[in-house]
Amino acid sequence: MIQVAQGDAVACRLLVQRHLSPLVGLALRMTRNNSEAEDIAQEAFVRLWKQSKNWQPKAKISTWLYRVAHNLSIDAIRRRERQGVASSDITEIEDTATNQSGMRHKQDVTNQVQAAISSLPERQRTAITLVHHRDLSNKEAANIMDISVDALESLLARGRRGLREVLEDQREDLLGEQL
Amino acid sequence: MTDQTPLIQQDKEQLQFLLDCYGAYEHHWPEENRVWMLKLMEVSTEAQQLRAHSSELDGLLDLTPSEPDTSHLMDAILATSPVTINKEFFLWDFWPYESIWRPLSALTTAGAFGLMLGMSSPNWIYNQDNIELQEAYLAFSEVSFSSDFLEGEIN
Repeated sequence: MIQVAQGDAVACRLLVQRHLSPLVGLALRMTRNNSEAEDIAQEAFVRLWKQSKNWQPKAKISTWLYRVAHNLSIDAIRRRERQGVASSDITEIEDTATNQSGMRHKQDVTNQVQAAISSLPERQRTAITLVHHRDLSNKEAANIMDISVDALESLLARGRRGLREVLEDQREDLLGEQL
Repeated sequence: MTDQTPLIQQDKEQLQFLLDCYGAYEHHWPEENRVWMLKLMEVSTEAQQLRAHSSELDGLLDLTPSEPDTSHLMDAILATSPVTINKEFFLWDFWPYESIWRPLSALTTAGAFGLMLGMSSPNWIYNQDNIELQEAYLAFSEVSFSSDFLEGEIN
């Protein structure tokens, strides 16, 4: 971060390369809106640049960025709810590598799982994304979501149970494909 | 060496709860429970079965990409980075400290004063020269040629 604050181009580029996609991924999982997720990630980096001169060495960049993105996503969701605007631009994360014909079935499976994740309440989606997809520890994830570890575990357990229930009907098909 | 005997109820409940929360991947387990869980996996077939059941959902979650393509955002984000701001302002090269506006305002003030001085000084000199010339001319014109200069001396 010191190098970033000093305007080191390589450090800035590496930082963005490392954190941008996971950050957009988290915001997208939360907001389910592609353009909002991208705006949130950009805003998070703008805040990071501003913060870089006063950066506390103890802070972990990824956790800090996730926390900012998480809060901005919640703001965006609440704003949308206040305005009564439906998330018309609901977007799933596209895996361009699986668009070939031989991978069509896998894409179908992926879409089903993705839809199941999207059907979960926002906080459960966020908890699963942070712990499963971002590999964050329970304490880090709880810190980002500003909740206790117990509350996080409750969200995780309910979220995973919800996913199992939603995917139960396609279980054989999904697991067959997975294997 | 695995044990076929079932887990005691308390251990089973605790393990099931943790697997329900964190799934089957070891690196997702809470640090404080990891050693205990791994030990159970080593010694208990039932614990392994619980883990295998939990891993089904992990496998499905792994199928979903969680990192979208963001290459198109890179330039926009880097354009707001301190690198760009520093490059835009070349004076940072000469003044690598904070508060660039202090030396810059001092320099600007000094420059403005110098310009003002430079613009006004020629007028003083010019006016002074004119006054001296006018005085000399008046003094010269008041003198009578006939009385003070002898004819022929003027050359």
